[in-house]
Amino acid sequence: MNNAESNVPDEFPLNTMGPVLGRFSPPPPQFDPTGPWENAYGVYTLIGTSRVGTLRLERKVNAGGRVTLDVRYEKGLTEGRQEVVGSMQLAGDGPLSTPVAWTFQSQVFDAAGDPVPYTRLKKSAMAGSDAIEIRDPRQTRRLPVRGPYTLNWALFDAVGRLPREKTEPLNFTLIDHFDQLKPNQTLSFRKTTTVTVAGNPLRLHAYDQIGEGIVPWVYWVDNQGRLLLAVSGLEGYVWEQS
Amino acid sequence: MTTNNTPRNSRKPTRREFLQTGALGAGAVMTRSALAAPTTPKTKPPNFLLVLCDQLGLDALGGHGCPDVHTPNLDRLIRRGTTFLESHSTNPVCSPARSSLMTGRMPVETGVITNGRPIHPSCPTIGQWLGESGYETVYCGKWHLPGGVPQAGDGFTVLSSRKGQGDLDDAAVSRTCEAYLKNRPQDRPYLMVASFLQPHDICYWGNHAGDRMPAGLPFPQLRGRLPELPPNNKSRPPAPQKLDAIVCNVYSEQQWRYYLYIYARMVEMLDADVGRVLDAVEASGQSENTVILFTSDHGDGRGRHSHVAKWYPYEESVKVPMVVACPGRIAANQRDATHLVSGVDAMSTMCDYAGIEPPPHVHGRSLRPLLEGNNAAWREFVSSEHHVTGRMLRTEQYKYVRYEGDPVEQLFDMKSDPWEMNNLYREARCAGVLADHRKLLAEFQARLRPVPPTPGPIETRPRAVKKRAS
Repeated sequence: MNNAESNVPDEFPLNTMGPVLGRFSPPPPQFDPTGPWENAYGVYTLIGTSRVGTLRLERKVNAGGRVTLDVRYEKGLTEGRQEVVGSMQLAGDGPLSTPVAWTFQSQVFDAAGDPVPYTRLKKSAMAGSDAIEIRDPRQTRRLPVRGPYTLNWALFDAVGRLPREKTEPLNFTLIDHFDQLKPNQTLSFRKTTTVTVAGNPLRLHAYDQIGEGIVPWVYWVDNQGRLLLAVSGLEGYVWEQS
Repeated sequence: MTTNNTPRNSRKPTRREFLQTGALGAGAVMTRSALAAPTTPKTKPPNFLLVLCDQLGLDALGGHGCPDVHTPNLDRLIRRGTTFLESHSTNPVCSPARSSLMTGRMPVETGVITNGRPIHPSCPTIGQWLGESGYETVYCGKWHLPGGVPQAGDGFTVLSSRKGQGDLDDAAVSRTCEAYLKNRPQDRPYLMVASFLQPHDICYWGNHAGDRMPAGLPFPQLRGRLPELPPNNKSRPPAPQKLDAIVCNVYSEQQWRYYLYIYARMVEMLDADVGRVLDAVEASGQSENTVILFTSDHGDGRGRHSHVAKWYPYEESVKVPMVVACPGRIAANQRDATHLVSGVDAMSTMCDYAGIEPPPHVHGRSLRPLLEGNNAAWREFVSSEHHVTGRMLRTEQYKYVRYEGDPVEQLFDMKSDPWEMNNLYREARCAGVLADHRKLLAEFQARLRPVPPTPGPIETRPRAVKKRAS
């Protein structure tokens, strides 16, 4: 056990992030979860603390109050990388940062940085009253969705504004990775706790997400409403300077 | 794009070239004439989508009766084709099992007797074999024969490699396969291997997250929603020493049930990614000309016999899904609970549908007669390998297990004891059955053409989860 791991908080599942937490450095104090912001996260597989990618989120608030959330997700491969770039138009109200429309594209690049042929995809999605329609040039899919829903990356935005006390869990359908339907999700406040991460005392508010097709997620949000850490099984996200 | 399916490349000879130059490993007795080019098919050959996953037990799917998971996409595939309910891994460890899926040979014949070894040059892969018959052969995801991606000579063009575990990697694999299926020019038939990691994450989860769990339920809101324990959770029938040494008995009942909950969610993650690829086949307009095979390298203990992980010949480890579908060619919604099938059958099945002969010395049988409703005389047993020295033989009614040099054998009556709780090997009334199975196994072993283990890590015993009570 190295020093970093010896300082891991005794808090499940924060304790599963192990040495990854040693790479954490606290962000500047100013942050408004309702305003425009940019957050970047190192993406780790928690076995061997291997950094496998980067997630960048940018929240934009336009003059008319319209909110968009841009996503840039780069995942390393043994040889090369895959990039997923997306943009969501958020509904503007509601606790889940629900997008009403979004676009995304993905592409694999080889070790030399060149695009791998035939691996580019571009899709758009639009929410209707009882379904979400996802289109690409070859296919239109209708995902049946009734009631609240959101996307996985949108939750990284939503948790910053959730109540910091026990309330009724939020029930919703998850659209994972922009187009995978995963129903029967709940998001609920877990606790507020103070832990020391990489020598930095942090007051964190934790939220649990459980549901079909996901290993439970726990999100840790700081007092300013910024998501700092997230973990699901062997998958970890650590806020980092962009 | 890493182009590896050029049969003759500058990096190393193909298996065919290796054989033709006479560089045969011990025990490999193929001749040049036996390696004539595959017969050119006379009719339009179908595409093949081989969907591999990792650590998925046969009965861990909703469509196979598991009440704890929701697998709409895999259930859809099951409804669209034939699912074999007596399907077995050739060796419930990643690399050995995969070597059989790729070659139609038993692991002792591929040289991949433990993880992290390459396939022996005497064994053509399905990628090489179909590639030389005009197929475009692409690979995406986990390889492990060895390392991250197929190498030159393995017979595949690599679309995307992996980095990380299934939770981070599988979505990238499915997205890449989806894009390729939708974008590729449709001038040649293809073989695509979409190789997912889930639910293998459970293997690391147990040691990593599982070991850091609090004594109580980590998510109290799951109380009352956890899967039930299997009836053989505490069962430890007499077993050979190597088999008996692997047991996880530090979990409480609640922790076991939470383990099962997590495993089910990982299966659902796999389901979502398989669904993405199935949708892409339909969107490509090639659905009725694409034979889809879905299988796994091995299963997972899931608390049965106090086991996590794999390696052993118990059902939870050795039984894997084998689903084959192709609208218009294969009858839909068929469940075959009769015929004993094995990972070695994948190669022969694809060759049959492609209209070419399989490579020499394969042990697999084409599943096509079964898939198309023809009454074929079928094999009497299947066999699997375990922990290097262990062998399992499964007949219609019995499972027989023997580890070389170990005085304890196993004999289970799979009809009356499907949870494998009563080892009958010392029962006088079973002496004849035992003798018959010993003989069958010996005869099968004598028909194999083993090669020396290919270079790999020194690994004669399974790692992990050695958690015996002190």
